[in-house]
Amino acid sequence: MNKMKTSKLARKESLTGFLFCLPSIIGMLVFFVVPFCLCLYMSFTESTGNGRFMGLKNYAEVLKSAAFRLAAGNTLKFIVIAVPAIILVSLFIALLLYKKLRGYHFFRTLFVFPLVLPTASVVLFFQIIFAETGLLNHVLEFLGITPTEWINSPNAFYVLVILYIWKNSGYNIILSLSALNAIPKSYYEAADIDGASKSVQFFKITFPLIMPYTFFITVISIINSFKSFREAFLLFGSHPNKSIYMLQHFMNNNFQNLNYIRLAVGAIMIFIAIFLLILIMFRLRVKSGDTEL
Amino acid sequence: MKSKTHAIRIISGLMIPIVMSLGSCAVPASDDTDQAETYSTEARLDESFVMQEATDKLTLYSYTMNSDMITPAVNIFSEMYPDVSVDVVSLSDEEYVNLLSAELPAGKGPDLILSPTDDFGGDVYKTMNSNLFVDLNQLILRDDTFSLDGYIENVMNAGIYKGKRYIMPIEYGLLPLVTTEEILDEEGFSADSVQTYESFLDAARQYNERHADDGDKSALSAGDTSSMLLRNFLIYGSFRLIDYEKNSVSIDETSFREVMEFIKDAPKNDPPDFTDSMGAGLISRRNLFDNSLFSMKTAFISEIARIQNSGQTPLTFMWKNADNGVTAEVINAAAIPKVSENQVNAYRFLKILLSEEIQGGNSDGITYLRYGHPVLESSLRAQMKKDFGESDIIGSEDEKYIDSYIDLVVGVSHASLGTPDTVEGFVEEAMSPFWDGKKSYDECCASLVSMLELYKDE
Amino acid sequence: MKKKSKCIDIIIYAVLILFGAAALFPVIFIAASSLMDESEVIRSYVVGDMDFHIIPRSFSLNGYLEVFLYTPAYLMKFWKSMLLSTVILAGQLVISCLGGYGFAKFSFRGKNVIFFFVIILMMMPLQVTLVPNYIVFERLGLIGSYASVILPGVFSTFGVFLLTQFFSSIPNSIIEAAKLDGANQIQILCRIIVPYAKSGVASLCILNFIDTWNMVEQPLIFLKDSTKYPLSVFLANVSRENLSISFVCGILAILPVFLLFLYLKDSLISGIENTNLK
Repeated sequence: MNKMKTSKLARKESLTGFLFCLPSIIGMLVFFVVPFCLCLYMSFTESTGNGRFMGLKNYAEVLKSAAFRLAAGNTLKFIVIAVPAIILVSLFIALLLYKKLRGYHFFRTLFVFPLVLPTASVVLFFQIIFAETGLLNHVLEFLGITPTEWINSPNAFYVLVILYIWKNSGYNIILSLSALNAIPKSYYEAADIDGASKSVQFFKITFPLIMPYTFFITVISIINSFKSFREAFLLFGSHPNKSIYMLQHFMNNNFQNLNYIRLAVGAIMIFIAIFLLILIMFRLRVKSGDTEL
Repeated sequence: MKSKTHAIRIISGLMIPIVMSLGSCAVPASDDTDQAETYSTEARLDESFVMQEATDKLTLYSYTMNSDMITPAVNIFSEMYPDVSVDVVSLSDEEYVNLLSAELPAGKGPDLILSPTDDFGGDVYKTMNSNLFVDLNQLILRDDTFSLDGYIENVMNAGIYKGKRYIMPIEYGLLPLVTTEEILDEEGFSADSVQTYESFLDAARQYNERHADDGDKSALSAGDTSSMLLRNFLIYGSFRLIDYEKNSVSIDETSFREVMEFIKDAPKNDPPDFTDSMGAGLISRRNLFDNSLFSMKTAFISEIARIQNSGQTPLTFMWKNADNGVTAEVINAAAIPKVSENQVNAYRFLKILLSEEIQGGNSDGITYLRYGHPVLESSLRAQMKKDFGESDIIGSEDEKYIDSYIDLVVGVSHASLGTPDTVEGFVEEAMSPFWDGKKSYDECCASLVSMLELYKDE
Repeated sequence: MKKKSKCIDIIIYAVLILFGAAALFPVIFIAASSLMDESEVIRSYVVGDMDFHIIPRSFSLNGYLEVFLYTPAYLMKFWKSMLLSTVILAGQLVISCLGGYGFAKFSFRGKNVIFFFVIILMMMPLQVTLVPNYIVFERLGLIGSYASVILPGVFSTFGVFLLTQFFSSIPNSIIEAAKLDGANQIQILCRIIVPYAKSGVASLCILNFIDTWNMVEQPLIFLKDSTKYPLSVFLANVSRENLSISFVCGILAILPVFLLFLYLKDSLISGIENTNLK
């Protein structure tokens, strides 16, 4: 009797949970899954007027394209370099802020500014600094270092990384602070009583306890790196230097050239890459002992 | 647990197609050998083409670049086909471009695209390559009442890509060069000696060298900026740069280099304030050639008159391409998207655009083709005869005088859909250091080639 | 001991000031440039070599007058942006709180797989969904209405992902206690979960608002009418002609987000301080 009751209750709970998620799921289906399926379908057709099934010919063509391969390589390179960099920088700043020294509020507000600035203003500002006759080169000249071309050269990669870190640190700092604040003070107090040094405390308490949040912050950072395409586009143009030609450029240019099929193929391949990436991260997360999901 | 194995199953399912397609990369596709053949301009009947049924709707997008033509054409269309409801959507320039890129892939948009080739989606050649447009030959071959005889063949063939006619030119322009016998004498060139590509370039170069210290002299009247010069050379000198049909970068080493060096050595004056236009620069001996005209219409005629009135003898010839032929530029063109459901009406509208009423202008002498020449030869001849005949230029009573001009306009050996802005931008970006003397030609050319290689593969 | 910690404090301050300056610098630049006379802007940034300077040589409120008084179009754009962003935010909050609670505290068949797809779909680049969304909206007849921009924003899966993360760290004991007190699920959600995860909800508010405030492509393509474009589209298309106005509009664009942040900043840290993760 009891067992039946609990299982009925469990099913009711299950249903409630599902109902809570339902609006989100429906929205997801209509506005994201269905378009994605359309995209998938179109990636196998010959052209937008012609539904002729091309098999994998489109994919082969895109993979053969040197432009696509370059873009994929650059995007990967950017993510592998910029994402860990921003996580470290944000964590570092968050740790500094965590001490809650005087002026903590002021600084915290400060770091949000780059996020808040409209893209166009940010781009204008970066143009002024990194132009050939711009501020940075003037400073370098003053210091006796030969100025170099920043925007139309392989150095553009570093400019983009700096732009990305500068703009999105605020995001990550907010999240890192939330994560740090979630660690109960009692742990540190106990460690102090036991005589543990600060660095030991960091590695044994702080670091492990923010790991679950790290997965989450990494995912968001990767998403933001995709979004940074807009700034890259405004700053470097639609056909930038080879070092920063990324997948979004490939897709956007095909969009402008009315070649949606190629764009769809590129997008599906990105999807596959992301799919694998998230899968790997998911498994790592489960391994690290995180109980949730 | 369940989700894990489930996910693994999905991944392995996806791996197979990826490996397969990678595999197909390793083996060269048989298509590569097909691309080596050149495509013929002969119209071939494609049996698999399915002709649509006639419908009762037609949607057109109108904006600044085509409204002159659309309005009268719609009037004629409505008279001829009163049962068809025509919807003309009026847009701003920016809206037009944005809407096309969103709507065409979605299967919506206008039934007929009518615009300068710049607005055919960024790169008109790539757009043709993406199979977006109907092969108009299939419609024409099945139509007994219409053929392209009587249209200037070399201009119409500009819309042929890989053997299919995707684009129909409606209006075209060319670059007539004007000079005077007097200034040629003064500089020591004979009239014949400037008529070929080589000698023209040579004469211009010599003039620039000779007068480098004269401050305000320049061989070309509208050649004050590198961009302008570049644009002229790329189109009318017929530099293709990218062979889209073969998907390869092709820069003719010698002639391209010549042009780049010419641009480098050309005097860089302040942006023109049009004081040298309309022949003024020729009359005042500041220029050797006037290249500010875009067709032989009223502006051209006024210039000839003006030169004659100043007591000098004008001389006209065409800007030659590297093969010493004449390249024209298609100014306005039309295409029918494959996704259109009203292709029959679009085709009917297209025929009206090509008809005498639109090509020749109305009875009051108002022309619907704003900038260029009609592609229908009879209209072209009639209009030029009228324009010249009504003007004050000496000799306009003489038919042979007018015929010689008409022959120049009709005698086009090749037409181009223009250079896409992006490609032109690449050349400017890569070559500017060379023009400013900061880098060597080979460096710049290498960087240009690498940009073009990347671009063609996109 | 005290000296050492003071030394560290100074270093910390120095680093913070350095980074803070980097963050603040552009804002000062834009604020200062918005106070410049139009001719000075043109001279310094449009024509010829760039002449970078912070302190305006010609102080003028002309730009602000222009935007606030003379040309109502800019303020209209501003309010359109506000309309879009607040409506989307409101919708997002509702959907994400419901969904976050569901994913975090319940289990049902297929939950993990669905959540997995929530994450993946979040990462889809914009161009992918743009054209198919256009097709879908065309069928629904929504092109040209604000709904075509608002709906995808409301159902963006980012909010669900974020709140699931935050809600999951709320101890179940509190929820059990509330249930014993006879609260139903909705009450639990509103009275317990949301206040407890205040920092998560506040983060979502800010991040979502920023995203929608800066969006350009969606309004451009889905709203056919250029008079309906929000401020972000205008700022993205700044050209040499309206450079000086764009500075003023830039400041205008910063204000709402900044104010929102000030309003929410305390919520961002409180509420989670007492949570026990394990």
